[in-house]
Amino acid sequence: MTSRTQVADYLADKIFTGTNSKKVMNEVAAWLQAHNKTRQVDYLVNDVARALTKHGYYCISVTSARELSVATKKQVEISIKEMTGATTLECTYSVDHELIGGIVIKTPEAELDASIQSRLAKIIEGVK
Amino acid sequence: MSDLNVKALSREIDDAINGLKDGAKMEQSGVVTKVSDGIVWIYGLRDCGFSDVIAIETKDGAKVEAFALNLYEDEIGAVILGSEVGVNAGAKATLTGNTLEVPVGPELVGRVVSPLGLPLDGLGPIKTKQMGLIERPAPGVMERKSVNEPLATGIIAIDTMVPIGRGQRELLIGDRQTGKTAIAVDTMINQARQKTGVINVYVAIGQKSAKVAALVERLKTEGVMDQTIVVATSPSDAASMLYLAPYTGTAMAEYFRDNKQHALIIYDDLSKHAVAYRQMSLLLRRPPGREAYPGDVFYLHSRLLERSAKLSDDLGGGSLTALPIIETQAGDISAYIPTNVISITDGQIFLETNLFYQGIRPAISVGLSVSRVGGAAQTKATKSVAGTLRLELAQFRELASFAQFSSDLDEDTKNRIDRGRLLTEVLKQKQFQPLSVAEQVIAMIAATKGALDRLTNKDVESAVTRVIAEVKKSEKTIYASLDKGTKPEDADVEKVVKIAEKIAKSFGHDKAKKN
Repeated sequence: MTSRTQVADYLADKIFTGTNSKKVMNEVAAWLQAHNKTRQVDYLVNDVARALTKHGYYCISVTSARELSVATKKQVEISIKEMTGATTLECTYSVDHELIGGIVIKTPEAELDASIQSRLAKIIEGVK
Repeated sequence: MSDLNVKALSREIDDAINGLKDGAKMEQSGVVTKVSDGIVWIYGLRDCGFSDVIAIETKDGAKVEAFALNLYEDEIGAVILGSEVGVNAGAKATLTGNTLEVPVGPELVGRVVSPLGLPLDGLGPIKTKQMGLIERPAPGVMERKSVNEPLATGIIAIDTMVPIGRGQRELLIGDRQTGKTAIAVDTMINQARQKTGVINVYVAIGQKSAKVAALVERLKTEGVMDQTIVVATSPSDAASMLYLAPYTGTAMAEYFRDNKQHALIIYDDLSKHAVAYRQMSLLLRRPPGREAYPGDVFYLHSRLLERSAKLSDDLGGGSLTALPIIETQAGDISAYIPTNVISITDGQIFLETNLFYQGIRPAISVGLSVSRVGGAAQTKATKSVAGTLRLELAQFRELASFAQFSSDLDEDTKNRIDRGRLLTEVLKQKQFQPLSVAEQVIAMIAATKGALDRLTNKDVESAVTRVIAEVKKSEKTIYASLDKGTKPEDADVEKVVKIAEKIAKSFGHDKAKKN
């Protein structure tokens, strides 16, 4: 049986080669329906994002406690590229005051939590 | 929030960027998609390996650990270590980078611990210097040596007929309430009484807490706890704990094996272990096989028991002896798990309900019990008296059942039956009263040389006790020599027989034995 990962790889290849036609989407939709996996669309999208990293395309989400300046955003992007070897970045920025400070960067496979919130949580855990 | 200024914020972000450059904090993360009966399904964590430990964030910010058992392309099935309270779908899961390990070392001796190595006895934290892997490969062929040293159980029937050697795996099998744990406990007690230096590891798998508490208390009373580690799980513990318990115990015992010492591990019992593994496997949606056990239930026990070994001299010559226990249903030793473990171990001691209720305790079935390698480890003293014991007893049981239908028996048959009855009486032994090698040999000499033939069944026990005491008192050299395991000289045997005959006469039975 075809796995969701295999479908994601197929879809990522099609997207990367520019053959993202309606036909491909219909195929994927049919597969999801046939295998009763329509509720796994989010996972499939994430799997596609992960598959795209093989082509150097990274879908990144950056969350910070305050709105980042353009310069900082640029610096963050350069750092991510250096670290992951990405050629193309698709960055989504968001603000979450609960982080108190610092940033959280999520790639399709990993996460860097450099927020003050998580540091405080670690301190509290250590005290316990 | 008001304490933070923009400059501080900027510094935080700069730190975070530096962290990005280092790449040190980047960790794989996944999401819990399903939670059910101690099992979690996780999306993500593609680098997760078999048996890797995963940390899951609970709703209140605490972390619960799980270990991966099912690695699929799209998801991971993991078993939660402990309670799943607070773990919900959507929780973040990260790899800890560790495989399962527990504290090991001499600091654990005298303690009662959980399968994760946490103290359960209220005696404070256990500070060990080392950690040991729960799952570890067994020693290879070249790292082993043949079993050549005896592990005295102190039970005369076992040490003479189904002897156990250090490094052997001997199964204790029988129905419930037939004395399986009693044999294991007596063996532990004997290690303390005979000062063998063997470290005992008792693994209670899903045993009632009251039973474990009573056992620990007994071990303390007997002074055995000073060389014992107890790994305890109760029926209320999660299946994952019951599954881990024997592996944890083995990891702890291996420390001694690998450090030139000798250890004895008791798995009480592997039937419950198999049931816990079946529960986990079915919840992990692995296909059920015979009796709904998963296909790898044989490997579950074979990889565990293979870790018990006698190491080669190059590796220090340490040993780990295993006494796994299996509970049968209505004496059916041909069920799935019993046959599996019988084929893995180096022999089995089969305990029969009928014998137990006839008062023959330990209720060892001579015909079905066997030790495949222990004979090589038997002391010369024991060997000299145990020679034809098994055969004589087997013949007795056969003749005794045949004799029930006939009153007219020839002299030879009558003698065999009488000798069999006597031997059966001598082999009876009360719990918590293990005998030393010398005591066993003296009892067997008295019985097999015909010195006690005239006694009635009820007098045998006290006569044997008196013979042992008398030899110990009046023939100290013989006693000491036998205790070392030296084969007795004919003259020594003669002296013991004379003492036994004298004591037998004092019971006043001049004629043929009456039962």
